[in-house]
Amino acid sequence: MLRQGNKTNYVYVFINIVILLSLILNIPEYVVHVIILTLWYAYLSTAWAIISGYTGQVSLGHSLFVAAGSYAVALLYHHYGITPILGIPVAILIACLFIVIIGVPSFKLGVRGPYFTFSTLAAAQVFFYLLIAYSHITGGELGLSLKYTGNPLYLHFADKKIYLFIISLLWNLEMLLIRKMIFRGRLGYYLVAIREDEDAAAAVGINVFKYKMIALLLSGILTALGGAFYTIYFNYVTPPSVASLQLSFRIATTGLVGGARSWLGPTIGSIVITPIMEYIRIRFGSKFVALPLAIYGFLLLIIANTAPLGLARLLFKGRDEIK
Amino acid sequence: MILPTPILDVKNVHKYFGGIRALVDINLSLSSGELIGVIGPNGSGKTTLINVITGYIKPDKGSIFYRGREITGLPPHKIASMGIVRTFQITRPFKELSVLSNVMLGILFQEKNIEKAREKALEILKLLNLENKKDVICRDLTTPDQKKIELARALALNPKVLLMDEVLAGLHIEDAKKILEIIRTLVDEKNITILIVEHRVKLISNVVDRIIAMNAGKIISEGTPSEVLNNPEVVKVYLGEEYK
Repeated sequence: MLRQGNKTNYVYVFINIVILLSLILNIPEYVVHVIILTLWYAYLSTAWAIISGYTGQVSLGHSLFVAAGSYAVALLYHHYGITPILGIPVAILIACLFIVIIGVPSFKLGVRGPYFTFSTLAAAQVFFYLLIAYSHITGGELGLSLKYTGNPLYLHFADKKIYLFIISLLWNLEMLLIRKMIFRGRLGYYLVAIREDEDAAAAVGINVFKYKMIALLLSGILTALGGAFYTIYFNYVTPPSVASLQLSFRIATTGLVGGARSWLGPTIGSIVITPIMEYIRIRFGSKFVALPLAIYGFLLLIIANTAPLGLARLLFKGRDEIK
Repeated sequence: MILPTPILDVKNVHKYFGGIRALVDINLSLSSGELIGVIGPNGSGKTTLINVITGYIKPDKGSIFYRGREITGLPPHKIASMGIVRTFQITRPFKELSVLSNVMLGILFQEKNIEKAREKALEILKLLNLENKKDVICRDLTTPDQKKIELARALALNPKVLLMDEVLAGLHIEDAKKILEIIRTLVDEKNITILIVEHRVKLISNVVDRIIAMNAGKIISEGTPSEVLNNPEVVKVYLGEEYK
């Protein structure tokens, strides 16, 4: 099942070389920004794939965890002046709370398939509207614009490349963690067994509830860390940017395009989608607001037709894939 | 043939689905190293009995003991890890996984080292003559092979009691006989207690030690194959009048 392939390793190393070069070479700031975004979506989609791709419990509410992470950091800084360095542990705790609220009832009661998907979607939407409703705390629809101090202790850096370094570090750590825990360990076998057949998984002694919770915890905590990065990088959070349905869909589609069962799949999905989307947004976004979405839909259609199991399947022929 | 120590005890178990009496006052005792056949028409409660023992369904009344310890109401994965393992009527291999991975999943439960687990899985596959198909994805297997995988995966858990739900159904008579042979060997050599649900009485009657006949949720006869098959009630409900 968990067949290893050299090709995935080469691509992984190649991506890191590109990151390294963009850190060293003098490239336009906007390109750095696009690379940061590409890695950010890659990071989020990879985290999403743990529960949705490997374990087969498809979530369309991962913006909930992004929002938990980004708002925890933003609110603590905005209201109490607490540095994001201390905000991040709080963000993780809040994400854990959300994971328990969603995971325990769903997985205990055996909520599966589309029912689980819609539960996650609903939970994320509830949080989206809570953020808007409690505007005296959260800034409502306009969100929170955070004060920039330039102080590294508040993770404020003038050089964008430092943020690129941080997100590439996060992404690399995530990739290696998943490789060690899931692709080279027993956990991967358990998760795929649950995805294939829960009853049969229980028949081979797998505690289905426990391992679904572990998958959701891993996925949710990593996602919340991605949310915290968003706040640190942009110094500005709004419900549409971190808590919306669009973000949940974007995370999911990026994963599906690249291959949600593959180690490197979501990253490849992001490399293909994010730069194109950024280009379209800048080129047409101001004149035709809905056009980027229309093009996005068309793009998905083409990819879904040519590579229904994700681009990674085409590239790596099923190596380093949870299947 | 019946050995003195019961390994599994089912006591006064009742199960109702709405108004349907799926199991009525079932009392059953399995000894270690015994091969038991369960026969009965469709809907007589055979599968429900397996579901109740393995924790997939909770009984409404009664209790189940494994080596003297009550296991009623424990979750399926707990019961499986204690050594009471089942197979499913409709085979449920992990379809997207290779034959080897399917079997490894059972072993990984006890053996944490993946390489060692792979070796053990290969041993089991050899036992069932499946080692040359280890890399085949299960979805591409034939029905007899899928049934064997189901058996292999169950064996991977190192079971003490194995409950097999119509593992022979849909198999050609020669394939069925081969699997029965393997099952008999497992009972005799590894001292595993096996309960096998099967429709075709003649197929199993000269292999099993004991037969339990069920009808409408009740055990109507129990004993050696010849005793049960000559029981007038069994003949009437199950084998049909013309069997005489």
